Amino acid sequence: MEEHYIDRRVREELEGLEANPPVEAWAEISDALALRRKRSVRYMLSGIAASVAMLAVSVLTYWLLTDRVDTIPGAYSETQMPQAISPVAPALTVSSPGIIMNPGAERPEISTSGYLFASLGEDVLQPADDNSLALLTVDLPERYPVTELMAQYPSGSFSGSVNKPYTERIYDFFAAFSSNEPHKFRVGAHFSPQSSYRVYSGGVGPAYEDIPYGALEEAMLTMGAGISGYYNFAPGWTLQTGLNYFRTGQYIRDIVSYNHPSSLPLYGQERTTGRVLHPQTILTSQGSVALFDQYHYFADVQSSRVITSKEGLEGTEIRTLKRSGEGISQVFSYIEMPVVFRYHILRRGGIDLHVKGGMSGTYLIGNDVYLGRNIYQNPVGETFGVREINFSAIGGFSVELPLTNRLYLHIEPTAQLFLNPVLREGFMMGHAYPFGYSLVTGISYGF
Amino acid sequence: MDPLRKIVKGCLQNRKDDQYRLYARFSRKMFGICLRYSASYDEAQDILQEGFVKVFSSLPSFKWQGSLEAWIRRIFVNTAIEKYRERVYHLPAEEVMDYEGYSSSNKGPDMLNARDILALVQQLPLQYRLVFNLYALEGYSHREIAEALQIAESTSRSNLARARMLLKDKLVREMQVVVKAI
Repeated sequence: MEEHYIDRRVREELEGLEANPPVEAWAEISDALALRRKRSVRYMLSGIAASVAMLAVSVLTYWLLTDRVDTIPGAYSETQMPQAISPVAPALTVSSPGIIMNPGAERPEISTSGYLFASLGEDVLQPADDNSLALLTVDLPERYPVTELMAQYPSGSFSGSVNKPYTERIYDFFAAFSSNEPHKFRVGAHFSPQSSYRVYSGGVGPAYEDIPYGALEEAMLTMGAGISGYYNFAPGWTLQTGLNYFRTGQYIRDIVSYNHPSSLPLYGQERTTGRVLHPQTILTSQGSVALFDQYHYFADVQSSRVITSKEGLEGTEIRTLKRSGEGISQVFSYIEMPVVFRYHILRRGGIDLHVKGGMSGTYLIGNDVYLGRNIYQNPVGETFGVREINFSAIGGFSVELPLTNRLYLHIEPTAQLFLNPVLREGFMMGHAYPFGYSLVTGISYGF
Repeated sequence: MDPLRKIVKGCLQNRKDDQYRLYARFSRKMFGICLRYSASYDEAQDILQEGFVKVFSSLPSFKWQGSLEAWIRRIFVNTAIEKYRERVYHLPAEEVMDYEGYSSSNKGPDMLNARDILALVQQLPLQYRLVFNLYALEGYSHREIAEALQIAESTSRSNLARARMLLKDKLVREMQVVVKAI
């Protein structure tokens, strides 16, 4: 079929149409992707948390509502029919071993006549729960002395509920799932390789909104170390605290550094303070980087993150420079005091698994920006306005392997998220919250 | 490895730099498509954003059995169709179907450039624009259009005829302006 001339005319013009999308489009797509990922992780974690919570509640509910039956040896058998008893209690017969039926009642009367014998350790009978009534009913006063009943059935015994207070049941619940902690106190030391990055949302002002930070920054690997003390305060429960040193930060891509071909300084220094008069600032999602390195000129090859003041180098000077490296690392060092609760959930083959969670206070002790990925040598700048005191949430698991009777090896996958932005108010372009995944590895000694 | 495959592999690993590279490679072409299907620049931007999010989310299902560009283009066309469906539920029928008028560029039909033709297409009523784009530029049949837009085949035919008539009317008027000027 011949193509309509209007169709042809439009197709010829528009088929290969290309147009530049708005500059902010990528930032919005990147944010939407990050949000989507965050949501999917959140849904997954919520699902796991909800499942664990439901399981825990179900087990706890079952534990609390199900009477544990303590049977005393020598229960009734059909051949041990009890005889008539005192006027207080009616004649009883045994319908099956260990179960006493009221012969006068065809169906148990739940509201008034049904009582389950309490633990024989108690001196009175307690009202039964509904589930027990069908099995064990007898017309007795609400509080009937067990001793008297026992006297009338000297060779018998009864099954009954253990009517412990709920607080004791909860304690029993935890105790039943936990092995006995062999040491009340422990001390330990650890080191922790960590992958750190940040959660970032939003930039403020036209200069920042156009920069797709998400596409230009990435996580970095850092190391930490620390000492810990542990106190076993309840069956299965341990309180952990201590002192840690760790670093967090990010790697900034596509910032290229140049220096003089003869490695001469490019910028002067203030005479009195010795401060380098570097004319450039680099924008990152975790703040503005002030440079104090005399030898490097920086350029952004992807976006507009390098801001150069009018005192910067001229075009002719720049053209003589030699490319010396790529990327910068933005690092913050902290001392941390955590307060973490650990709960023992499993023991298999002598190996213990704990789940842990808590909070920590951190204090900033280092703020450096390095060339490339080497975060131990030659800092070239620092970040403006970094918050000194911070709080973070900690969660994870701990696997403990006994090395001797007192010495344990710990391997602990741990996640940590700052609860406050990394920058102080007034320095924030967006909201960047550092986080890290670490594998805390160490030993502890029990006493 | 083919650079494009390398980029896609990086995208599948959620590498932001590769996601940006893929975006940089196709964003101009896809934005051109978005502009054809929308009435405004802002609307085109919405389709672009939604389309790329779908592209990145659906990449695991791309099996290299055809061209990546064609696959991405298909996602964008489908996104435009979905946007149409969303709008149809929220707009009164007359706004979807009615003629909205054209702006004049005072040029003859042969002097109209891509931008002018795009402006004419963008000013078509929503449903006419979509039917015209799908038929004339994507090569959909009326049956496929009817299924995609959940309309009758006859409606698709009449929408196409109306769209052509409106475009022709405008082109003729432009031609008259040029003839008078001569």
